[in-house]
Amino acid sequence: MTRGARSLSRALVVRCFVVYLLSFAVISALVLLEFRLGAEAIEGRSLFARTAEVADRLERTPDGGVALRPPGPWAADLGPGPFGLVVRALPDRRPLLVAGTLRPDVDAAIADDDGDGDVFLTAIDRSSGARLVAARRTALLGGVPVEIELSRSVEDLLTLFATVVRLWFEKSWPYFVAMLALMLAAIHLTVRTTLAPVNRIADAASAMGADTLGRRLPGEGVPREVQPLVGAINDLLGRLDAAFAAQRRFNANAAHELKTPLAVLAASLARAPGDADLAAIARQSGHAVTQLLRLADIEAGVAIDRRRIVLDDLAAEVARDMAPAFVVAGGDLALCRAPRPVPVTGDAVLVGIALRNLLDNVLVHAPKGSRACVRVEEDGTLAVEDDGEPLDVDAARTLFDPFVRLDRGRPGAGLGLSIVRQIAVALDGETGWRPAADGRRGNVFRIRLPLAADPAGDGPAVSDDPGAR
Amino acid sequence: MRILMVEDNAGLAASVSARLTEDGFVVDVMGDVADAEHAWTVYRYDAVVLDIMLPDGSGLDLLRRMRRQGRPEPAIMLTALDGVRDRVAGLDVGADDYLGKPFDPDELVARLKALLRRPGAVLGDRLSFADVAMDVEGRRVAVGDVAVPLTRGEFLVLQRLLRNQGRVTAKEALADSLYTLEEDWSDNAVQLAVSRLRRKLAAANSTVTIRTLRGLGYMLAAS
Repeated sequence: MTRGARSLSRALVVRCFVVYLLSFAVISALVLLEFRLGAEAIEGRSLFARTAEVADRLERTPDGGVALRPPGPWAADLGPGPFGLVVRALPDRRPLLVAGTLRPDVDAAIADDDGDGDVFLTAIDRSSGARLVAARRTALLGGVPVEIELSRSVEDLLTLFATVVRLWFEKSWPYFVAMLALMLAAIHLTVRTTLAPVNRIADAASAMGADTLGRRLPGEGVPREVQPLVGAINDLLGRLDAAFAAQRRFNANAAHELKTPLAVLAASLARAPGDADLAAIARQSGHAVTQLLRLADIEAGVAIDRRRIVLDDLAAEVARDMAPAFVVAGGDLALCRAPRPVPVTGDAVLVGIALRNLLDNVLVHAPKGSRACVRVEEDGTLAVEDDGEPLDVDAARTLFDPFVRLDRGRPGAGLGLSIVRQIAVALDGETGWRPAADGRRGNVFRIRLPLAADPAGDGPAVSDDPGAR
Repeated sequence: MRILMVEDNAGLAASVSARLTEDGFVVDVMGDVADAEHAWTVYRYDAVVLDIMLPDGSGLDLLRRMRRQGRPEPAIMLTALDGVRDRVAGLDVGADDYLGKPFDPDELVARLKALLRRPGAVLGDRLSFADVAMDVEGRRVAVGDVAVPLTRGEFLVLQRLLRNQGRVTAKEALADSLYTLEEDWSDNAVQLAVSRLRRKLAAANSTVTIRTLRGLGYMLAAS
């Protein structure tokens, strides 16, 4: 993952949280506003309904007045609270106190309704200046029309309204929080499940190398938004595949066309007595062709299979293969392992070629009977030390360049060490030379590879090679 | 010892088969996959030398088909291809060894003989190196004409070294031939067997010595 890359899931969660809070605030404000504006109408309708209840409970008193019956608990329900109850007989339009906290002065305040047939109206209490909501109904009481008015102060109404909102919020905030949590979890999960196919693609892509270019990234289950990316990568893989295939074909054809005649030549010359040198030259030419094609392959990045390799095991395998050549030449080859196995990231085949070339270099350039030693060092270095004449420091500078041969008298095309360097470059490693240390005569040629992260517990078990120490 | 050689280049096939004939091999040369498959199916060969790039197909495919039919003949692949990766591919389909072109015919002979020295192969019963000869069945070892009595451990170590002559044998490989999987083994036991063997070879005035290659293993050498 790129350093500093932002998590999609986290970004979405944070943004959705902010959007949720904002929308909650806006919706709450709108609801409150609407409620505030509509409160008077609601209360007016409620008051109007109650005028019918009041009318049912009115009766004429013997003195010709009007009274609530019974005056007990029911009347208490109307007042003393915020209600104003006015019952008036219409003929003289004189307010008649019946029950509750009556407001005798309201009559003058009740403005005429606006004529649109509303069952309620608003008014100003002249004595206190308070706004009132009032509802009016005319009822017949013993044949006499009686006008009933119920009113409530808007201020009381709003206090009541605020109390209701507060109570509602106090009870319901856990539900809002739970909803928020659910939503954020759902976002997180959705992102994860949606991106799971993308992770599969990433796994598939990282398992690919130049030798698996024939494969394509799987498109199934991938979100539609990501499909174009998959398609584009697959197209790119197709073009790379074709290019690599062309390179491989060329190499294979070149190898076949160049080496088979050399093989014929070498085999025929080997049978002609006295021409052993010519046969050797034919084989060397074949070797040079092999090295050149290898160099081309590595430079083109064809088929690098990067994985975790244990350097000690690889070094032992290659050294065992090469040791007979040293013995036949009257020399010796030894392997010095590091105290612990050294895991590096590299391509076993390429690193094997590099070590082979380093050892070949000693075989060709060091005097007959030379003793060489392969050392595995803990920093991921493979060092080949010989006991030959130390190289000139200036000459050593070009040692790893192609076609450099410090000793023209020896066979070889001068490609071996340049291949070692190409391999090191391709595998993010490095090469080097130094004279042997500790007063010994000789040269140390080395290739260093990046250390692999050692999975816990995997280290010593991988190649705890009990033999041949 | 009858060898099937599959190689489309007539010149190379002729030179190599002439070289093999000198060493006592009988060589049938086939130039393409079809002929080779027919011959391989019909006749009994001791080993097969197989080119990879053939006019009518791949030697690897032929080998894979024959291995699927259960044909066990040791096979050496010859190829002009770069070798290392194809070597892995070849070993995967059941090749026993691999030689890149151009090669030294002596090298081919040495490798063929190494394959034929395996247990059960045609040279597997009588092993020899310089003046040391071993009769595996009869459990006898001789230096020149003089019999050298060996303990079981020394015999097994020498047998492994003889089968693997020309190459380095790792110490754990020697231990493998000395012990079954259940048995514990120690460096010391292998070293002890090797040093006794050295003494006995020296006492018999053999030209054969056992070289120690530090960190790698042992190898037979003849002075």
